[in-house]
Amino acid sequence: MGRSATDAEVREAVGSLTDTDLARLGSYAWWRVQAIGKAARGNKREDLLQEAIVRTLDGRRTWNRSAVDFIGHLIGVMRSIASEWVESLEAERHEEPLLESELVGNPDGTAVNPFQSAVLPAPGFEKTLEAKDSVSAIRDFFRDDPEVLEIMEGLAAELKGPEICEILGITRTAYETVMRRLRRGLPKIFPEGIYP
Amino acid sequence: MTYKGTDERLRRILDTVAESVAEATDAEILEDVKAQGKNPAVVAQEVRTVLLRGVIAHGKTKLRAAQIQHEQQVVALRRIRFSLPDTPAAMRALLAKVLTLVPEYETALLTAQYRGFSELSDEDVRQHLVQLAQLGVLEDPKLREGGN
Repeated sequence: MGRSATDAEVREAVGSLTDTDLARLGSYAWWRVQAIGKAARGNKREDLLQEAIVRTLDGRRTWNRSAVDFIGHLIGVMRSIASEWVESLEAERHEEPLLESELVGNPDGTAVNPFQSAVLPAPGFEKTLEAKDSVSAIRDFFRDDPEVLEIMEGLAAELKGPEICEILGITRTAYETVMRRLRRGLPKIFPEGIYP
Repeated sequence: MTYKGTDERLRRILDTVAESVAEATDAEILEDVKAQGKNPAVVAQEVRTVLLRGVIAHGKTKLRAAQIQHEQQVVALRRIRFSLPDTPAAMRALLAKVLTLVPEYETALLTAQYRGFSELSDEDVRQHLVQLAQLGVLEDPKLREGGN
């Protein structure tokens, strides 16, 4: 494992980022925070960006200069932090005790191991409603754009980009164009963020 | 284990959109910013400020950690209890005993000042003993054998 980047090296790296690099980092951070919803626990894109820098400097994340440029490194760190925030929230949910009514037996009367069939508790009625409203708002906004709606369905069904392209018979470029429409449309539907 | 539901579906869509930002071309990124009615230069400056604030935040944390460590060391040194002999002659005898038992200290304490043991003032002797006490040298049981 390499050494941590120094304050001076990180300052220099920040100084060398272009306006486009910085806009990309800001945009990525915003979308990452949107994607994890309540797991962000009130953290904004600024907090995610700053945390990525702090972890780079304190050695929790090492910037391997020979393998990745600074922007690629920061994107990777932000992805990892966001994932950690989600895991932390899910771990808390998992720690909530199961109700007796949730411990059901098999039809033949034998006991079942609740952990074998357990799924994480549903995100809660209020949260589900919020998400349902958000999905409805997105569908409504793109009601005249069948490509967006179809790709949304594919993503919701846990399909990856290449699989969606194959099923829908579209090119990668067409898929990326739809992504661009989503990127530009969603902030119009949710100017204050999807989970304000 | 995963939980299924609308929330998860929304998250998957947003996750894919987030990753599309990492893969988009520079021109697309700039167009995205403009499409939101924002000035790319202003957005860039905002992000740069946030990143540099992260550098400053880390620097302050490091500084605070160093301060705490220093304060702990000072407190630890103050907590070291020791008693020196009452008279200058007894102090000198104790220092002589230390230097006999551990001759390396003679080099460290005396040679650096280009002075011989007999030329040390009473205050020099006391200061050397204080330093040796802080280093824990005076706790050596051999020093207690035979008095002083």
